[in-house]
Amino acid sequence: MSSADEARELQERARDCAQHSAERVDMLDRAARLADSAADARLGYEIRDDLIEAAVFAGEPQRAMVAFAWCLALCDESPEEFPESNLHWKYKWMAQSIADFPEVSREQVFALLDDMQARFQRRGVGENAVLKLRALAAEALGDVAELERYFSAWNGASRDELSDCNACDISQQIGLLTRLGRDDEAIDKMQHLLDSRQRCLEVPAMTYGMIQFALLRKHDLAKALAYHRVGYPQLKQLRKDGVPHIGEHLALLAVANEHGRGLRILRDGMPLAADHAVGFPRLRFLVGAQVLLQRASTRQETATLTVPPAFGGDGKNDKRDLASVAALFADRARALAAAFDRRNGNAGISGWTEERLALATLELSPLPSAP
Amino acid sequence: MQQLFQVNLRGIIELLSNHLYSGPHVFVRELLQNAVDAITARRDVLGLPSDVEAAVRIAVQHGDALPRIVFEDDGIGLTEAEIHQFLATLGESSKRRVGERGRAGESDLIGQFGIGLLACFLVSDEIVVRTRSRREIDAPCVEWRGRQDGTYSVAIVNDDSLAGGTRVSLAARDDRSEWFQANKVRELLEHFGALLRCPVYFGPERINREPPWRAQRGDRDEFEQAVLELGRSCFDVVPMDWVPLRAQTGNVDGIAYVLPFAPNLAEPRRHRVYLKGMLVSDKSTDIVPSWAFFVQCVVDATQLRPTASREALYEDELLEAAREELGLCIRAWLMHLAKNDPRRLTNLIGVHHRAIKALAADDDDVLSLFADFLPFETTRGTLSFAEIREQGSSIEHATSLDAFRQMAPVATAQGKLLVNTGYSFDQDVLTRACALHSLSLNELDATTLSEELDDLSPADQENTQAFLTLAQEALERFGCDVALKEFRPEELPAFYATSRDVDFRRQLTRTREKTKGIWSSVLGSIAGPPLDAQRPILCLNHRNPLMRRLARLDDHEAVPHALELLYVHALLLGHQPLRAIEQQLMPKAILGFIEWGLAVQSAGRLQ
Repeated sequence: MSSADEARELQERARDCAQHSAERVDMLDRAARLADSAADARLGYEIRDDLIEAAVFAGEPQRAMVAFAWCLALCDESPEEFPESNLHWKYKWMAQSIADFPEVSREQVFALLDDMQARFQRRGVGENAVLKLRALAAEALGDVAELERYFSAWNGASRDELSDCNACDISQQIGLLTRLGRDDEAIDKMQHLLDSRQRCLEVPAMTYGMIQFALLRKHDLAKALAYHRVGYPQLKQLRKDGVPHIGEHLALLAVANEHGRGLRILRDGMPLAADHAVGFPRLRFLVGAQVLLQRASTRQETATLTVPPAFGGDGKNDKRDLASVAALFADRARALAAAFDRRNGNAGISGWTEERLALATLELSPLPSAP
Repeated sequence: MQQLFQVNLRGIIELLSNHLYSGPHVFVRELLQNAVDAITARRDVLGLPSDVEAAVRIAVQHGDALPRIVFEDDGIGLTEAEIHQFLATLGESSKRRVGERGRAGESDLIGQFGIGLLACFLVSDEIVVRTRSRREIDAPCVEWRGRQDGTYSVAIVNDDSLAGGTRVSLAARDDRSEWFQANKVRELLEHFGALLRCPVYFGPERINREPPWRAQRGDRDEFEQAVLELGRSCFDVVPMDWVPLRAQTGNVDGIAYVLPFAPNLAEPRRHRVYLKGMLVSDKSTDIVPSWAFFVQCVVDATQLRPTASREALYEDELLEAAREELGLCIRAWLMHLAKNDPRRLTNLIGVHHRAIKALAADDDDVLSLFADFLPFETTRGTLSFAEIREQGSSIEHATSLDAFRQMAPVATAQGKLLVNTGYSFDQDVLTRACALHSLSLNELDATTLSEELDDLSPADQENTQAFLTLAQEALERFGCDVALKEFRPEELPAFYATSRDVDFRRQLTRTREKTKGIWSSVLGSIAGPPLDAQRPILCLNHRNPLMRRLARLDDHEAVPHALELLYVHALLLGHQPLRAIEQQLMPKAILGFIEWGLAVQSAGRLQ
């Protein structure tokens, strides 16, 4: 079988793999390499088109970006053969994760957003999609003032063919409102999202996590737990792409003193989080995990955890007690936050991190026993 | 004093058709539901003797004008006062969620009746309702005629054909007459009402039947027949097996049909969900846990909540608890099979091992029961975990399809058993299965494999040191390390040891060669620090006779050329597309080598 044929066959088989799976990404990766060996530019482009999407939803934005950059270069090189408009939707996914890498500078983030904006403008669409992405970037750039500004601007810009679906937009609004401390609005929007039953591939699975912090600030433990029970099984299905929000569930379980359940979820999520290549999702996981470990250890939980190398452990045989893992995670979270601060030129992410770590000492009145 | 008022029917109809219901066919469900509610009310309020059949009867009439549909029920009927009551509710409809049913209380039932009628305006311009209440002795027959434009009349009429209950009659709207075709109506009645408890007749034919879990239990064979018949009519599939379902939460009964083929993991299964016998959805994906993708289910619940349009189940804790319970049924059945019917289990696993692995990846009890039966791809063909265990106390696996393919020949030649865990769930399942049996599990990627290969004897190491230094220098500019080892098979002169990370970095480097501007710089940033990066290794085989001879050379021209060629050759063998500098290498290295060979021959310097 020729390389090109094998590439096509792998591309087909990849379609049968589970959504969000690493398997699908691996197959398409291999298929892309085979297409390249066969010097088939069009096939390589088409396979990478699939690969970008597979990698985004498998929680592998690095791989997605590499594939995307290749495709975009082809579009720029041969615009007649490879129309750029096909990549515009995917450019939004790239823009959504770019600021999550602390290795990427502020200038690079803005240059990328500007490049995307220029291309969208040439296409003739409005600003709705770009403004949303600038707002999301502002969160990872630790700039609350910019976040407010872009958030309003986004809500005021009319929707068009490049705007996200309603469900995604509402979900992100909930996330940003929570970040801005506008908890009542966030909670109302969440109710509206659920009532209207709008959904898409990752909504409301992600949103059940995003809303937790607002509910904890409002001391609504009952609703937080109800959302957790429905939302976590959905989140779990997103595998590595769900990593940033596992932390939010862990923090909730910590405050609700449900340590057993929390530790089970932590053990399940840890390999995924350790394997995640991107800073901000790892940080989100770490802060939630730390809060759980901190509280569990102060309440005399005597379990042990194996810490993966990516989080500072030695691997297989490095079993540690919860208090020492809590300390380790606190250090790592603060170090990662500091890396973001250096990149951002402000203390936004450290502040965000400390706020979340402080949940370890939040005491809410216990819930009445279940009916 | 009675007041007549204009109801904004227009607005409400628009709301229903554009924002609530998925299509005009819903009118059949609404009229059916009205009829069923009326019969239920009659039973609850007045009692229904067991020898009396309270049924719903539907007929289609073709006159010379447009066709009509008639729905008649033996339910409780409406009084004149109740008719005015539902009109009042219609006027208030903007204040409540339209179409919301299921709330307790008779006044709500009246209100729902009116809202249900509105759906008829999706297909008709005029609704005629004749009804006689059974609550009052000698109740009159009241007729209500409502029109699309919002006008209506209420009058008492003489109609002896209606002893009690309600008759709703609709004439087709011109552009909707296809909904009034007899076979269409019959299809819709069956679609929505196949499991309803009270008898539903279309003409002389009874549309619905008791589902197997409600029917009088005959012998086991009859039950099985009923189950298979239901499966056939719902899914048009002959199942491999079936599982009875029961959940206390939500009071759910049903059957899970085991598919006779391995389903596509990317597509969720779509199940049929009924609420009190009325179809809610034939596209439900969340009534059973997601790991149960090898079954397709029919269930009937009495206590789960539907959404406003009644076309889906409301996602709440009730549904979640019911889902878990149904999952437990399936799981218990699998466990039962494992303990008591290994032949059936083997058949099942043969087709559905992916599904079972998905379940076992999360659930230690299922894992411990099934682990030994689960198949894995290995360098010795497909083996069950039990067979893999027999091979030794230490198991090695490759976590990607690529890595497996690359290392398989070397592993085989070394007498090692290598398991391919590049498929979804395999890695999780194998890890947990090994933990359960206290077996050690080692991940092999090519870079760790190369470390495990044998080193040369100290004497050989000394003799080949000069060569190795030259070789490493030669490949430094490609970011590739060189190692000299001894391994089987002898015929393999070298292999290019890579890993997922190494491949990724290579892909990134190649991509950077193509990009400009911001993307080039971004890729550089996300690559991560070069010091931390793993490097590929070109592993040369000292057991190979040619390599042994090569390794005795310390010629500053021959060795670099040879290495460059070996490197590119290894890349091509591994289907690795070449970077720009590697592509430039080929012609240069070949020609250089030929020149060197000629020079050596003419100078008589061959060893």
